[in-house]
Amino acid sequence: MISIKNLSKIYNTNGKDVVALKDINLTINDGEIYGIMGLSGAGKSSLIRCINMLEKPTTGSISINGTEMTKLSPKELREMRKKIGMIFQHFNLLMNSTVYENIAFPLRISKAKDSVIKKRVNELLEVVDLEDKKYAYPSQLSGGQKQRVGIARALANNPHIILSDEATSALDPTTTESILNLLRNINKQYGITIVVITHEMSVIRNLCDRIAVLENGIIIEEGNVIDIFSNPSTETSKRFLKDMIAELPPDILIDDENPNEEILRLSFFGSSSNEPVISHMIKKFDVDVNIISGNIERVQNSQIGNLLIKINGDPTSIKDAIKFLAKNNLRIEVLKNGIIQ
Amino acid sequence: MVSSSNTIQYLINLWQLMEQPLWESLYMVFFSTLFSVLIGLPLGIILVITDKGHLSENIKLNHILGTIINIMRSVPFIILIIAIFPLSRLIVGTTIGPTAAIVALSVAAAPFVARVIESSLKEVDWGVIEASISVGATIPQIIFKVMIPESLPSLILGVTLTIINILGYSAMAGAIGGGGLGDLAIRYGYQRYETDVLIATIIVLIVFVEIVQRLGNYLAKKVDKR
Ligand SMILES: Nc1ncnc2c1ncn2[C@@H]1O[C@H](COP(=O)(O)OP(=O)(O)OP(=O)(O)O)[C@@H](O)[C@H]1O
Ligand SMILES: [Mg+2]
Repeated sequence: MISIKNLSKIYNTNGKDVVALKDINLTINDGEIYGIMGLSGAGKSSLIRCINMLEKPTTGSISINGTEMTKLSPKELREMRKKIGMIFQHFNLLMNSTVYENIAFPLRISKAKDSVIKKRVNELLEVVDLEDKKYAYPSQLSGGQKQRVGIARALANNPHIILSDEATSALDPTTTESILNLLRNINKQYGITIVVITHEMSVIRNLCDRIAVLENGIIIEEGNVIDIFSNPSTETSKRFLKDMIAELPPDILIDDENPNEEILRLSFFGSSSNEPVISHMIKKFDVDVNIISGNIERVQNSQIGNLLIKINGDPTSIKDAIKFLAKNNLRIEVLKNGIIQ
Repeated sequence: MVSSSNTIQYLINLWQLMEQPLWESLYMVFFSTLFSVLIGLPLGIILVITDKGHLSENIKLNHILGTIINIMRSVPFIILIIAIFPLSRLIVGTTIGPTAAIVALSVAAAPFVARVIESSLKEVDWGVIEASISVGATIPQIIFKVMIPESLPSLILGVTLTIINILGYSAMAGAIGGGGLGDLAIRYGYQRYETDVLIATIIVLIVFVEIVQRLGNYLAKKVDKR
């Protein structure tokens, strides 16, 4: 378990203080995949780098399985780091070493025997599916292959934790998908805790169990991915989720003065997406429904649906219909002029 | 017309004249390069790792070392050699001849080597160093298993440059009794106006530089997998 308490990080460049993290409190459980998202400069890298002390926290504590990271001697810290793998956006491989030597590197650092290294590297090459690239140099690999080498290197010492700073940000969507699959398998197979930083929705959606949203060095939202996806409470989260939230097309005219018309945005999750709630509503309240747009996304193993509808009917019927929808676990926003009210 | 047997005799004479100075030059260049790299490499490493934000930040040491190196590099070589005479006498017991010149050449070239090595090591991407820190590598491990192998092509080119520079310096050392090809060129070409000896010396130097540079380029390319 990674337990972060009252963590602050202040950088000092040329006498000027930059507060990157402010009083962060966070617990990451063993075996979970924890996402950290936020806009550029929010402090994501600072946070993840404090976990393995690549950045020294200004104040606060970070404890990993009961070991207080901020109080370790240099030697103890090096031993601890061997159990925390890290993968990077730009891979950071040894360019003058083969794939084999890159993966063997952490083992050589740990002074493992050659026979042990050989066995372990071959195993890892199989895990990341690069057996045929054993003697290739990084410059001969694609981005996805390079990241696989990075992942194998991070796994070499059998870590409990893997830290990933934008590991897929330099990759195309298909390659990203395959890297995410690999990370998910590693998490399942070896029970390794994975902490990922990302600004990509697909990473959060396909990989993470829980997430924290950072803004200006503060955690503004934290929880299960599904909860946050289904009910983002801050502007930052909403901005991240905007791909998934149905936007009101600009050419839809809204007549503010017309009491017989409302435009609603509905979100529905899990089982409610399988029920014919809308059709019940139409029958029950004698309203007309015109669907403007809609989509369904899978998050983890749940479905999240979004629907923009225009309801026509007399004002009381519309009111009752909205109440009915709310009772059926649909989240509703009433839109006027495209603005959420 | 000169008969061909005369030409051969002429070349043999020239060779006999040049053989010993050539070996002296090679001897001076080889050992001066060796010692200057032995002194310059650790200095270059210290310059890099004590820099701001690097593995073993120590701004004070970095500035002091940098200043000493700059001062030594700004002293003209010929003056440096004379200044080093006492040191030569201390180490090799004499201030003339190729062996004494090696002391002067090594000391004179070491600051240059330190800068060349510093700039090569600085080319290593910080991300790779961070990746090494994150797997628990020690500072010596990072220097010898990451920074040096990653900058090897550039280090080889730096040593090539050093060899060629030292060859140039060694010719100057010849002027004050260091021996070697520089000494030959001065004695025959300058003092006796035997221009052919001078030209022969220049040709040998050109060939030497050409071989060293090509070899350096070849090796650097061979180890470069980037
Ligand atoms: N080494 C440093 N020295 C000074 N300031 C820094 C340093 N690293 C980060 N910062 C500052 O700290 C703040 C947070 O940076 P950080 O790199 O953690 O953000 P981030 O969320 O990872 O951003 P991005 O998505 O662009 O990678 C920024 O204002 C940044 O300028
Ligand atoms: Mg970052």
